[in-house]
Amino acid sequence: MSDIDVKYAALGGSAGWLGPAKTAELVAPDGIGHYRHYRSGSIYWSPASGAHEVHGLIRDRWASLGWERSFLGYPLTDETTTPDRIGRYNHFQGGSVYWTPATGAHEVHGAIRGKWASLGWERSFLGYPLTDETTTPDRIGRYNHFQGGSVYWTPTTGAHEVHGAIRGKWASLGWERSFLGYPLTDETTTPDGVGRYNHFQGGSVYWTPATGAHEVHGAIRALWASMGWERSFLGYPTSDELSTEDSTGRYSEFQHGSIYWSAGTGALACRETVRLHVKCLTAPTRFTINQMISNMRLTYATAQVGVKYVSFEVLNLPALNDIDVGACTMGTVTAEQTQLFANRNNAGANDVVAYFVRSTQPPFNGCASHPANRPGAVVASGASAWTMGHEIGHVLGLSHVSDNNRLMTGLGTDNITNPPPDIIASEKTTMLASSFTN
Amino acid sequence: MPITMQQVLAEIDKDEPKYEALALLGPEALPHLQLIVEADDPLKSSKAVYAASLIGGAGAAEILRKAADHHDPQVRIAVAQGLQNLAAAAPTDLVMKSLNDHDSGVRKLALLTAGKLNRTEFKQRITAIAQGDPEEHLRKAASVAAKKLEVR
Repeated sequence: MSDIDVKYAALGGSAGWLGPAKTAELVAPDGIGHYRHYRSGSIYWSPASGAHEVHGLIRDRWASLGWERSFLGYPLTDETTTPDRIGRYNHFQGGSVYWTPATGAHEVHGAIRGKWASLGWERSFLGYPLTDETTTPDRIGRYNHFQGGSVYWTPTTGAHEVHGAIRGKWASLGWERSFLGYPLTDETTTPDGVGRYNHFQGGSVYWTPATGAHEVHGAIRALWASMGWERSFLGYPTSDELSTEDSTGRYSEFQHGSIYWSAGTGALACRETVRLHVKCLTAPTRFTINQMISNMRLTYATAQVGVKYVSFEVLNLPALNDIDVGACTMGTVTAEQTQLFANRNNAGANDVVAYFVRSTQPPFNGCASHPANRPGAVVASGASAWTMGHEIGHVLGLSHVSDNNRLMTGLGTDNITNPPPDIIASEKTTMLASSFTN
Repeated sequence: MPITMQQVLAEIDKDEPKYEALALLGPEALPHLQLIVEADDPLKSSKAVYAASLIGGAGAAEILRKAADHHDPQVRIAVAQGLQNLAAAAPTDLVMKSLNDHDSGVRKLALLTAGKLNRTEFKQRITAIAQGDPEEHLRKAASVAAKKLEVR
């Protein structure tokens, strides 16, 4: 009796579930092993692997890959029920094929199989494979998707699992074709025990229950890392890296601040934030609101103050579009200023509102005098690119200076000679201490 | 020392000009202000118009008269407001021109000016604004101004 006959007999012979033989025992095409097909499956034997039955959809999957001539080689086990009793598998010399009613039959092999096995096979959070190992669109890497995540492999990065919200973020950015590239780590718990992260070739994705999953990369990530990652005063990211409104800079928001970057300034950590709302009666004519906000971000970041652009609203208030600001003296407001600054939709008590009007009467670029407990400033349509930041600087407690290198120049922000204008140390202290920065 | 354009621009260029300082420059500043009004920067032009109105006199009135035809309503608004500063010297026809401006912002400031100047010549136009201006806030403001004229 051959080993195949012994296995067949052990499985019940012709009365067993394999049923009667359909072929004689034959030499496999690779010339190494033998096989015999039966009504409901096959038994394959090789000197190295012994005799094992393969049947059903797992056999079909193996057959579709090329039987023993495929990378899977000969079976090392009979089809076996998984410990969770949901699935079935055969291990082969070069990998495994797993099947469940819900997922179908898929092969897993190599380093990806090794990663899956190390995590606990189908009992891990990954569950069962949903795909065979597949080449990535860039033809560099390989992956299997599983019920609970994915394992990606490249020759340079090895095999790493990505799952949950971090995987969702990575997928939304374009998987390995995004700037993030391939994962360099499995999802890992942060040292503070609160969050989770994967590092990728081009950055990281951090997640916490409170903040969700956000990517951090480049110079912003490098600065955050140098500060101590999530253990720094910034905490976890609350946004992906974003472009400034005029695309001249980048920033990421964190739980307790932000990091701003521009080619001119490099990465700057901001420990306080101005929450900015824009209410527009007339759009500015010389510069866009986006340019003004971006310029404000740039200058304020040098004082460690970030800008959170919270909301934009068009106000249809023709009576206030050419607004009487009187002498524009801090602490004194006109009836029209009182009316205008009452429009604080979406703005919290310490949020600052910039009202874009056509003109002030008398004519100013802007005016920062505001009613008590309604912090904000008006900006005229002909204002300079720096006026909004300058006026809100007044709101934060800054005064005019006679220096055109500085944001708070009283000589005209159109005359700023060395942009971005400076904010000196004492002004920074004032801004950070303002009740309108948090 | 003659007033220079540099002195005038030093104040006009400010985000928040000190108009009292501009007024103190006196009539010698008016030619410079006229040039600024004529330049292609409506905000600076409007600042220059307002500054001229604070200096006052015939030269200032002439600047306001020319500026009343400016294509940008911001400048005409400064004219309408500046006419208040000319007080008794404010030309009635210029106030009427502002009251008839197609821009509602100009009419708004002209109404304030007409109310302060308190001349009977404005009554008919103010009443017309009170009765038929497309802007509700102007109709209300004109009603108030018209009542003041009646009281007078």
